[in-house]
Amino acid sequence: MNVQSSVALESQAGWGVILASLVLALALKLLPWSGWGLTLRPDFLLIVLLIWAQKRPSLVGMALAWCLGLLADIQDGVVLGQYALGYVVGVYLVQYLQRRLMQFALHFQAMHVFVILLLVEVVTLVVGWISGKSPQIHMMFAAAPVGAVLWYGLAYLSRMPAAGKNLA
Amino acid sequence: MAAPVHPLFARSIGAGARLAVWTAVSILIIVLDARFNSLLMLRNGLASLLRPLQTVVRLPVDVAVEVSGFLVRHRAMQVDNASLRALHVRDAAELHQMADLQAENAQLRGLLDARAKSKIRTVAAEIWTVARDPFSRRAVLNKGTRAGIAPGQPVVDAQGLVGQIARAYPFSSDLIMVTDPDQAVPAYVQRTGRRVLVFGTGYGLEVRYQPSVADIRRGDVLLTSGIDHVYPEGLPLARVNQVVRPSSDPYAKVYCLPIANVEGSRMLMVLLTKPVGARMP
Repeated sequence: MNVQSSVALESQAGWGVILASLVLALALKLLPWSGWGLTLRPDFLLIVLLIWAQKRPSLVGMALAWCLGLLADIQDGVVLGQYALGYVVGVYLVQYLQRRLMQFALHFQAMHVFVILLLVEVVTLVVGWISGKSPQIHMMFAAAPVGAVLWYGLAYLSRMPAAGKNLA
Repeated sequence: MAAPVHPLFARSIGAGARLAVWTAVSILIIVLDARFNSLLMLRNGLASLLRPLQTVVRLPVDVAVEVSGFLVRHRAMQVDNASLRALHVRDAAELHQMADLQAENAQLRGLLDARAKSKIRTVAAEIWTVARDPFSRRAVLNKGTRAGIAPGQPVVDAQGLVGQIARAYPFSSDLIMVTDPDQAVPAYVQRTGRRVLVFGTGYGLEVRYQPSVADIRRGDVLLTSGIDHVYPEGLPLARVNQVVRPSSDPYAKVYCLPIANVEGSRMLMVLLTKPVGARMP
């Protein structure tokens, strides 16, 4: 199968749509979650950010990721820069893998995203550790699989470029 | 694999270099914030930025609570009313007794020439969001320095101590719960008066450094002792849930559960005590 050039594959979505979806994701994150919902809650903001970083890489990059990460830091009351660094790493990985990802079917892409979400959690964990806290293991990593499933749904709805089923 | 820059002859810096730059900026800001605590202005600004969105997001939740409250069945309300009336009568009697005791206590304290316990002002606050942070148990309250809240002030619910204020912004504040692994509260056992240190474990509480022969058993109630000048004396803190006395260890393992509904309470009270000088977590 001939892979089209990535310029043609890039979505033409403007800032309006991108910012609206990011604000919506932030709003979902700000809802008063608690209990199991909180433990399993995927990081909506990160997932929407990753979707746009893949679909619209010339607009959504690491600078935006860093700024949104700061907002996430404030929201969780953690040391400033913890999520900022995590989000930057996530966007970098998605953009680094972007052309390769598009050659896979959507569920294989989602598996890649799952690993990226795990890596982002590891980065934020290490930062939290360095800034002088000891983590609670049982809280960790529950959200990454849920996040990958959410990513799959969003990518499907937003017609993420992917290979057909015959290629997978 | 090539870097994700699209024009053939890119004039911007490469993705790897950009990652390095942002990583460096992040490390700088982490150090400034964690070690020197010098980004308060930035924190306040970002918190105020989130505030309007937070208000909008809360709106449907608040409306739903209002509506479901309005539609509560008449019969249920009658039952509630009756039990509340009974409770009121009983409380009134107890209150009367308390006024008596207070007067007596004041007299006794006068005899002992002790400093009278000052009345503490309080402010009611609501939990807005709970942070999913694997390092700590935290939440954001909807009141801040404008309401008189300052770092270090204790936070209680109807049952007992919930935690203390870690940071205060103009319109919101960060609450760190007693179950946070970094929290330690000086307390005493109500039954014996024994002084203990109660540490957060993330999901519960634990009394450490007690010899395995210590007189502490399941069901004991722990109250704050107030010797740290952070928490006032006598707030219900925890109930001992399990005591293990391993033969290989000179110390007993004492596991407790918080008396306050730390995970569930939404309406809380912040005690507006004077903050102590020490740096807060």
